[in-house]
Amino acid sequence: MIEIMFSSLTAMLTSPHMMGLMLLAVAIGLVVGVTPGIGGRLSIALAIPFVFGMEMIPGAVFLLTMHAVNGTSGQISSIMFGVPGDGDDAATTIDGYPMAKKGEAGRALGASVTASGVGGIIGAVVFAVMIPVLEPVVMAFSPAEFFLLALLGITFIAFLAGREQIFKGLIVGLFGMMLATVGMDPYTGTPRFAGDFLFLWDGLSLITAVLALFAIPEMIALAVKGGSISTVSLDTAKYSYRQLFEGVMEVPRHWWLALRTSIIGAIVGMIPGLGSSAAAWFCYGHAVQTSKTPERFGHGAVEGVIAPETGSNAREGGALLPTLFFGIPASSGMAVLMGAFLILGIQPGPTMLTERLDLVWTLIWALVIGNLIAVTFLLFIMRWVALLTFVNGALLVPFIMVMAVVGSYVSEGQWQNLVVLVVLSAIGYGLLRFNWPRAPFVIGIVLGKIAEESLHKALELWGLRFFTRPLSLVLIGLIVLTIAYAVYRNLRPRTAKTQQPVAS
Amino acid sequence: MKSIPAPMTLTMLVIFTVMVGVASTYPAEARFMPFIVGIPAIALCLLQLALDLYRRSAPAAADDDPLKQAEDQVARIAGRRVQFEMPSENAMFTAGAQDGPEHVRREIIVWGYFLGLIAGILLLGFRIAIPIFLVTFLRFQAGASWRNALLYGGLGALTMYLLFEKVLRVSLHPGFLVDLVLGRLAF
Repeated sequence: MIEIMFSSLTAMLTSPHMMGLMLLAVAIGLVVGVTPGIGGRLSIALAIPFVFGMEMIPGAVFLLTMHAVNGTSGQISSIMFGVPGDGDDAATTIDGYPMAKKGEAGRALGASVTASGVGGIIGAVVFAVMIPVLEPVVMAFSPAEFFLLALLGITFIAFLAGREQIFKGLIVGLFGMMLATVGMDPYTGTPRFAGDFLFLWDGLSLITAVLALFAIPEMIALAVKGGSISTVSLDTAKYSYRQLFEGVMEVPRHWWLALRTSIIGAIVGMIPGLGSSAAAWFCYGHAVQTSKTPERFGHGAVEGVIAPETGSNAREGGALLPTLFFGIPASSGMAVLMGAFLILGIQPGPTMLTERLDLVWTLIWALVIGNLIAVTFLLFIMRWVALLTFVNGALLVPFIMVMAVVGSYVSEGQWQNLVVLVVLSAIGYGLLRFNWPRAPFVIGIVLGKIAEESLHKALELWGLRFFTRPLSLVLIGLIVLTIAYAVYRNLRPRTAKTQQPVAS
Repeated sequence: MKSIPAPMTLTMLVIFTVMVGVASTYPAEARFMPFIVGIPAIALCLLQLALDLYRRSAPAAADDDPLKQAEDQVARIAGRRVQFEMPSENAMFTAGAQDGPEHVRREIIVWGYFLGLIAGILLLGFRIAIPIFLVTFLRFQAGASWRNALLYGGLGALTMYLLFEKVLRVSLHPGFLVDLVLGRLAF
């Protein structure tokens, strides 16, 4: 393994093509992270058509790097204007913005960017350390268990929307699985749900589905909302490089906190369903809990910036583990990334350990190098990158919409995909509008075909006894427990809340 | 006018019911997976529908202030209470109205643009529809001046054309109407 580890690093560092792609990915990731209205998931969805023809490893490295550095620039608006780009950055706002108001924007930014980079690197290290530990567990899964694993994945990812929305998550996940059945049935040759539409016989275009569920609804929502996120004066953003350097030095000064929160973040990231902002809030809470002066938090404590930033970026390394080895994306961003990986021909599962360890190590190194490049870039150009938060979101909408539409057409070169795009976008917008989770859809549609194959294989091999295999029983138990917990959560708090006023 | 209760739940219920119904006409092996997925999905939709209706009739939750919820979350983890100072314009901690008539009007307009883009591409092709869409959207929806709308729209369309048709060598849809007109002119 040591040999593969270092050969992957050498191959990456000595390839101008790979390094060039990484630089491009870092630049796009940072710009996307700071630009209002474009989240990490959306950027991956839009990038899919461009990596479609790429080779597997460069394509995966490009997408992962872009995704991993997204959060590094995301906190700029949180600190400078008190307006977090997404849920992950909300915890950073609590102390970052008061620091900026006190004239310490540079210190807060320096600390957050460095903490972010450190978190990203430690997250990758934690992932690497976990490989030999998890190997026997991963290897215990046979292809037959994939069906239950897909269901478990959907169940877990449904938690991402909040425990009280698990049914909605499950419905959306099953909707994705149902759409995966569209097309020619491999066993009987029946064109399922395709009728006489020949373009559907090969199944729905995954790229079109992902763009319809994520890109178009987000853009429509942004256009409806309108305006830039920064209604605050640019004066808040003034700082010196000296301040920035002071902020950078805060991370080694609080190295023990940074290390602890990075490990917490990575572990939280490994647990599917805890939610994308959970790592940041857990780490923020941990910093408050272990501080000797907790009263400073909420009023501009630098530890309140370091802890959530290390945690939220370390999460990416942790989240990669279930995504790659079990095919269960731990976050909604990872769900879209996994969809992209499948398009590139990467099949998550135990074979990643046996046959594609080189790819695993390349991805780990991509996380490390990508974060290093991002931190270095940002420390020098942050002042200018911050100006992007003033961009009027409505100006970006038509360009992104056009990219999504072209991407959908280019994926298969068929105009009918544009009609599918409209239909699925309407459903996607409905999900967004009525606060339904969309990430489980990606898991459902990407795992649907694999799940069906696995189910047929398992039933051929073991018949219905397949469900009584020890590992199957464990997976079924986990699914049942998760749903039972969701039922309990769905009913219990509402009863308490609604009964309270009556009682009083 | 009262709004439809649980619109997404009903939509999903209809989709799954129709798909399961259609699948029932397939041979046993072909309908196996749609049934395995569709039947539990219908059950979940009915469960969700019951929850939606129950919540609709129940009084609203006592405290939905997102800032307060964030403070509670930190207090639960840390065991100590932290008071947050948040700016009033912080979008993450303020909830916006989504059902007002103005919001719905804007939604209809933006959807109109999107559907117009798709219809334009199908009829006139990418080369004609994209610049028209970009300039129109930038001018009338994003509020850019005519000069900027033409400049950015033109540059955007040119970039798309160069990137996809020249660099990636993708043949973009020419448009049915354009095809028809060019076909007639050829005669």
